[in-house]
Amino acid sequence: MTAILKTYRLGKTINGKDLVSGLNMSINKGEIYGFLGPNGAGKTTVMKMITSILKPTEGEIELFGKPLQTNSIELLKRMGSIIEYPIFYEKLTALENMELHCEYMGYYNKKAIAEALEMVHLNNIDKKPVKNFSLGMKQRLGIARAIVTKPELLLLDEPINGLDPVGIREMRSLFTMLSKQYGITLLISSHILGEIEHIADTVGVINQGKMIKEVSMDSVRQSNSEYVEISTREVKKAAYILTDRLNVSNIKVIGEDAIRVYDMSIPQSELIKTLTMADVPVNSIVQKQHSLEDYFIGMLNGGGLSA
Amino acid sequence: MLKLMKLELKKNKFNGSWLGILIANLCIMGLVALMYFDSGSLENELMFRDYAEAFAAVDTFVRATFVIYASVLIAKFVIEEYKNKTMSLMFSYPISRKKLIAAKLTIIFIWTFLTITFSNLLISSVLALVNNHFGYIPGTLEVDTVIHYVLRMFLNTVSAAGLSLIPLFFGMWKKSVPGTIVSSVLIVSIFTSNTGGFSLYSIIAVPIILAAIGILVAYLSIRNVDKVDLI
Repeated sequence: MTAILKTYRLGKTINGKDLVSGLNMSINKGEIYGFLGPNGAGKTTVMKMITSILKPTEGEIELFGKPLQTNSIELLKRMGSIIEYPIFYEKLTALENMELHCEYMGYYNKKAIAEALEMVHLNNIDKKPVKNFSLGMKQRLGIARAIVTKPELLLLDEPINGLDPVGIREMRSLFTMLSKQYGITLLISSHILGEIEHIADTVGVINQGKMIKEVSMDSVRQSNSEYVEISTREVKKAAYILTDRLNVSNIKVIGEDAIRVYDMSIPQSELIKTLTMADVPVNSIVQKQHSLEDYFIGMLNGGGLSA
Repeated sequence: MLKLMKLELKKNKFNGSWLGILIANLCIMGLVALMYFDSGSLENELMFRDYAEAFAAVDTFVRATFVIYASVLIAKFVIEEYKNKTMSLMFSYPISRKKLIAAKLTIIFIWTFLTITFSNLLISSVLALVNNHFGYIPGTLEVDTVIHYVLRMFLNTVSAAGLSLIPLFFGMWKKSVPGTIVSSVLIVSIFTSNTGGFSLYSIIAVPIILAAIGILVAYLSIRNVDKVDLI
């Protein structure tokens, strides 16, 4: 896997306020990178720095293996983006906006515009100026504009904003399709995990301008398997009996009166039977699933934020 | 560059604002007509002592009008793109930011030059024709006067086109549309005001220096555009 985008201790200070600091991130070619963080965490600032709308005050950005500098405008040709909210020339129609975009990008495939509009399911837009569009339609048009030139890297800042549930699903499958079929690398930011957990390959969690964790979704899923929580007063004895008699190795004692069993192959009845027979009182037994949501909120809390 | 200018025109649906030019010309004609016929009715005091003076008056009106008009175009092409955030879109294109803005300013410079030239020629010709009939301006139209007038006008027009870019500096400062237009009104009132036949413009060095300043200011305003944040 080669990295298409890398940042080294990236930082941005505006008026003495650290918006982003010491941020290291690495996006591999072809993956969908979910950029997760609460409002005001610095997601947009980072994306603006990648498109060189903002200049980093410290650190470095490496795009397509080359350092991003003031004069590296050629790199912009290989990117598509929507940052904050889609911006258009409001008096022009959708088609005129798309045409202008292609002209400025130096992209002259006439069919591409219709294709892109088709991909985002934007119909009946003939002669309407963009200022009459709803937010959802603008969002779709923004995505269409970002993908029309088939860029290698696509930066989408909260692309789901303003879309209806059907639209959200359509966009999700569009993003997956762009990644799988066209090999486009996507950086999608969001403050809602649910939006990206199903499509992202890697998730970077940012809070207060710092990267808290960068993990692949596969490892997150593995480390967050289900468990059975047994509530008992005699945790030590219970732990001993479980390891000794049932050969359970993956257990964790939680405080004074609970014990978690991560080995799901043993049925609950078996657990109760063994413990009761060994004279360990079982108050309750519950099967729980540690949701990804909890996992990430836990991470944000660890970063010093009360969710 | 030419392509960028074309795209700018297309983007702003700018057709040269013919209607605006027409209205401005009619207004200037009206004003000049007022002065002309007013001086005709007062036998003892002539408004225009000769053609040179009449043409100078026309030139002043035209320049003042279109330098201010140009500031409106600066607001439309440059400042509003910042205000509408569409500049962040422009700056995400693989085109030098300086070139993007230079294309806009070149359009404004050329437009100002052409409209001032056109309006001057139009209004002066009309005035000369009208005077043929009424004769309130004494003397005849000599070839020398015309040549001198055309040369002077050319110089003044280049200068005015340069001058028209100075408001960019004030507009870029706070990205303010009123700032752009007000500063151009101030600049015009300083440099074209005429006290007893004397205006700053009549010193030959002044228009040349002003043109240079205008272009310099335009350059300074965009010099750092690719190094600074776009907020």
